[in-house]
Amino acid sequence: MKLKMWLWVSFKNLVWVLAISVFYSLMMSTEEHPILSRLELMPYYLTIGGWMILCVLSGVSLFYYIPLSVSLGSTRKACFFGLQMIKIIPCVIITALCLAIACFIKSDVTAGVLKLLPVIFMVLLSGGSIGAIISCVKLRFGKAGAIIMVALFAIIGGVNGFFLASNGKFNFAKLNMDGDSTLTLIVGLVTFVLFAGSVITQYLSLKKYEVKLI
Amino acid sequence: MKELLDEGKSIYIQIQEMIETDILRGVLREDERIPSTNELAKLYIINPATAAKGVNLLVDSGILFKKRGIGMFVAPGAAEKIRTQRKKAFMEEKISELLNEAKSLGISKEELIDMIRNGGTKQ
Amino acid sequence: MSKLVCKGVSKKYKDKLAVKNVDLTLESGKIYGLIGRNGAGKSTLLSLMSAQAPLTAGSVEIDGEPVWENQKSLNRICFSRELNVSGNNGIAGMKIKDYLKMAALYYPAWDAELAARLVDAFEIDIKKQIMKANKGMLSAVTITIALASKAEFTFLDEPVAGLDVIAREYFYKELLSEFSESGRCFVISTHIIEEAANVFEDVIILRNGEIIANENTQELIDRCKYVSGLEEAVNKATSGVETHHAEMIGRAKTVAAILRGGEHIEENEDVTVKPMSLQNIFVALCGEEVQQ
Repeated sequence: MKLKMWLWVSFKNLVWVLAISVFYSLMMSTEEHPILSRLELMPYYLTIGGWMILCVLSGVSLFYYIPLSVSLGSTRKACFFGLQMIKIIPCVIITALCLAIACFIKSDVTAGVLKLLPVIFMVLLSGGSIGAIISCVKLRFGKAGAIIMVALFAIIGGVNGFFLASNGKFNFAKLNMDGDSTLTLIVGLVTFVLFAGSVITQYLSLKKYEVKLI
Repeated sequence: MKELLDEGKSIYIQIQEMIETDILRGVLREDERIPSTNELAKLYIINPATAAKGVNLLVDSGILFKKRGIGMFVAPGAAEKIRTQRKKAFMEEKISELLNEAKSLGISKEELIDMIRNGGTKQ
Repeated sequence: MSKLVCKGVSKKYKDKLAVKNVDLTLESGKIYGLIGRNGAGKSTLLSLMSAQAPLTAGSVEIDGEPVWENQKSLNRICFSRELNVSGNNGIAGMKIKDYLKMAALYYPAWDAELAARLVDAFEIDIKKQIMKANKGMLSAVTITIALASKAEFTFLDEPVAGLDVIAREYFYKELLSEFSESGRCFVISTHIIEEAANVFEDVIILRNGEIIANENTQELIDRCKYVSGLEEAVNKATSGVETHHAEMIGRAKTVAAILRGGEHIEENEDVTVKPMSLQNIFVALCGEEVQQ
């Protein structure tokens, strides 16, 4: 397995997440709240931005790195593990980044972040999983799959728009921390289903994968 | 050495003929090393195995000989041998072709001999 | 000497058999030409031999080791695919430089020096995206990957299609020098038969997914002849011989005769026997369905 390549892809995806998060925080910064003073909100942007970006990128990988790798002599098995790596590694690093920020800046917002770290991780993982499932559906069912994909991307856009429109009014600080165990449980359950679904669909897609074009 | 290859004629025969012609013309002399099959292959853009086949035909007929680890060399008396072989081939191929053509044109043997005597020009 | 062996290889797409029960042995130290009409199954066969597509039936092995999902065997194969420029899918948006980097990462015996030399000689602009490169440059990239991979079994699909005459000659020379140095096995599929014929030691002719000829190129050329003349005379001369692609004009008839061991057609005043080129042979064997 070409560990180096899949690590490189993971970090490339991570850079995209960081970029979109910085973009969000710039959009959101106002005169009274310049960007640096709102660094505590960064985990929020990282989670939302990461969810979207990882969804897109882990989906795209199936049509980009897989034909490339298989045509260059990789086994499908190695590709399968590679896809799992690029789903998990960015989530781990982003969660660690959120932890670092929360440790660095002490506020009630970051206190919430600390409590919600497992949720952050799972939300990010669910993003990558959704993208993976959609891409497998597209590979299997072609155009119909593509339509589903577009529809889902529209929903992703909508959700994203909602969070953007909420303009920081909705953030971790406002979540009811008493209910976090229920929240964790629900998010955990959904993420588990999505992640398991992505593993199964990716396994099925790769098992007899055929390079048609690169 | 480089001449163009004909289509439709076996490449190894052409390689054989070209080396022979070079020996007749003195481009290659007795006891001299000839280009290796890989060199011939690159020069004519042909498969080395085909070049080797042409060279081996010449080894079989004693025109070239092999020095182990060094390469192929022109055998002593090669030019004379080639001349004899070509004369024989001339008789067998060119003359029979000539006779076939003459027959389909209704030219008799005597007429043909006359034509040859006159060097191909009309009496 | 290594061998890649295909046994009963078939590939079915929906209801169409693209490759039918192919038995084929490739040996290291040989250059094979794979020729066939469009849609004859050339690319599919190369895909199957390099495990880039799953088999419907049969097996592909290198020295007894399966190729499918076996990294050890896959490390010995390179199938340098034609690059797609549609831009919607695949790596069309990738820079040539990055594609070469990926190849260097994946092929264990990658020759970076050779790759750099070929990039220079073909004047490949490595900063370009694949979809923005012209057809000649894409062919050059495909060739660079194939030669620099140093894989024991290297397959090239239409490598010269986009190249001009000068680049084509350069490619054949590089191919031959790499071949004589390394003794690798090359399989080259091509439409431009005439100029490639001399480079192929063996030729494999594919028709409708089946191998209809697989033998030494020069021997095949030696045993294929055009026979022409008066119809009755031609029929008499070729009786009992496999003939193809008969053409009649008035009383004159021309056929392509394929002689088996020991068979011989004597030229006489009524019948002309002429040699055939590989392209003529290909047309005679594969052109029959379009003759009428």
